[in-house]
Amino acid sequence: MRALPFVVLAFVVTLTAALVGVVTAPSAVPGIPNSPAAVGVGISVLRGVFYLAALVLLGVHLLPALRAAKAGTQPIAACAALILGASALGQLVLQSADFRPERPVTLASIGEYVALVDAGKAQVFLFALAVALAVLAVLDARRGGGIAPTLPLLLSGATVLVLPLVGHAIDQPDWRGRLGIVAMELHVLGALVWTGGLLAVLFSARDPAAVVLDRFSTVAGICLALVAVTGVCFGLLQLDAVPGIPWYIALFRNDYGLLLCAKLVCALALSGIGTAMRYRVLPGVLSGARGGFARLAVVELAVMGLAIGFAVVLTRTPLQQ
Amino acid sequence: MKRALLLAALVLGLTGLTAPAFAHNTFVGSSPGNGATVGSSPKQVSVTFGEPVQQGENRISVLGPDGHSQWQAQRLATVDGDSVRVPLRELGPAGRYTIAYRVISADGHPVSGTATFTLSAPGHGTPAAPEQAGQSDTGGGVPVWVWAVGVVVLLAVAIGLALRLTRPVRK
Ligand code: HEM
Ligand SMILES: [Cu+2]
Repeated sequence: MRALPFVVLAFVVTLTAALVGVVTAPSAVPGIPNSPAAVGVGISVLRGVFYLAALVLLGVHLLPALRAAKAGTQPIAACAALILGASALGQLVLQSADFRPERPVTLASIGEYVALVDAGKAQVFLFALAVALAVLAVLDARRGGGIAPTLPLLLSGATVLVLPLVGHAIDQPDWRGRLGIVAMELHVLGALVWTGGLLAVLFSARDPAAVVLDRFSTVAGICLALVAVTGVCFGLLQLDAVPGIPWYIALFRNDYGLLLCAKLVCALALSGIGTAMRYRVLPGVLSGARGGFARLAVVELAVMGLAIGFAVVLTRTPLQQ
Repeated sequence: MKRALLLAALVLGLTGLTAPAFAHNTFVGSSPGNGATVGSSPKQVSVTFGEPVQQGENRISVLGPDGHSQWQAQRLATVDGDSVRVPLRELGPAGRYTIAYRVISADGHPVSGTATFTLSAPGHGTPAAPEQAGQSDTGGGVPVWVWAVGVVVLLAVAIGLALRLTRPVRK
């Protein structure tokens, strides 16, 4: 089944986001309105859905780079774009509910939220990008594949670059602010090109050609290094900015630090899997033996799903407890 | 390769254009200080954070030693750069008061927590009347789940339409 790798990934991402979201939900503070824990968990899960849709878009639009046919993939791209748009709207509603816990959500309150908070504007922008991507997919189908793959690929890449700009990144006027944003952009891009590329490879053929695997393995190695370096740098910059507690203690004391450790473990597991892929599976495929790749690749996707599930919770987790 | 370069250029372009984004805020201190003892009722309570606080629904409640009476004299806290403050009623019984806060950091995430201070000599004040429970629930809005259903229905319709439109053209 060609959809199986994606189903595994989707299952792991949403389940991890929901479970970790529930476990790390902040406790209610007495005497002031708190939003129900479900709102926070919902935001994390929808952010997971957003990344899943973005991964499908990236994967589909990376197919030409793998010399695989994109014929027949337009409905997939269109649905993924629409799901991405819906997840942006959903996050917008929940974020404005979280903004004013004791008030009902109305169109006016959403408008006010968007006007006040950049994270709201970002979701509106994402919705517009999603609509553009859906329209492109429809046009492509109607013209029998007439749209050059570069534009939708760039737009899909742009979707994942929006949220880090309005997220946890540091606002220090010095070098740390800039470095934080660039690190986060590279982190998310590296993680999603890697995961989306793997999805595309698995989707492109039953037994992907050895050249494709070889090239992908190189890209994966670069992405792993990039993701690990940027993730560790950004995480430590964040922890270092917490007043009154040294970062190496915060690393093991609060949810943010513990989630960082969990992601580091995921990255270690991924490097193990990648090594096995490169030095065990690839030589086999090169010498004509089949199989082995797909199974290991699905395990790899599951670990990536864990890392993404942790990420969508991490990005809402307070640095202080 | 060309695509990779294009994407890289896009990243740098985007990040170059925007001002550094915003951090999740962190509690730095409160006034009266966390754990401090005061001899008489302070005029106001403030909480200071590591970074600027977003204008919006920022709250500070001051809870009495009984754990539920409220002593702040204003519903919303006033933002003043990195800190927020509320004026205080004159306090009543001596004992431990709790400063509960929930502010919006510049990245839109709510940050909440508590600090405490102790009043050593009783004052003559009385707590604020309890807020009318439920009164704020009926502002003509709909519950969040109705919005959720709305988005899902919209998505279903859009997907149905897209699947129709992307059906391969038969010649
Ligand atoms: C060495 C291992 C890793 C570390 C230390 C790390 C750390 C981080 C940190 C600190 C953030 C930012 C959270 C915030 O906003 O405060 C983040 C975000 C993210 N990480 Fe990682 N990460 C690692 C590995 C991975 C892997 C392997 C993947 C996926 C394959 C991944 C996917 C993501 C994604 C998608 C985000 C964006 C979350 C969002 O803002 O919506 N990370 N990571
Ligand atoms: Cu934050």
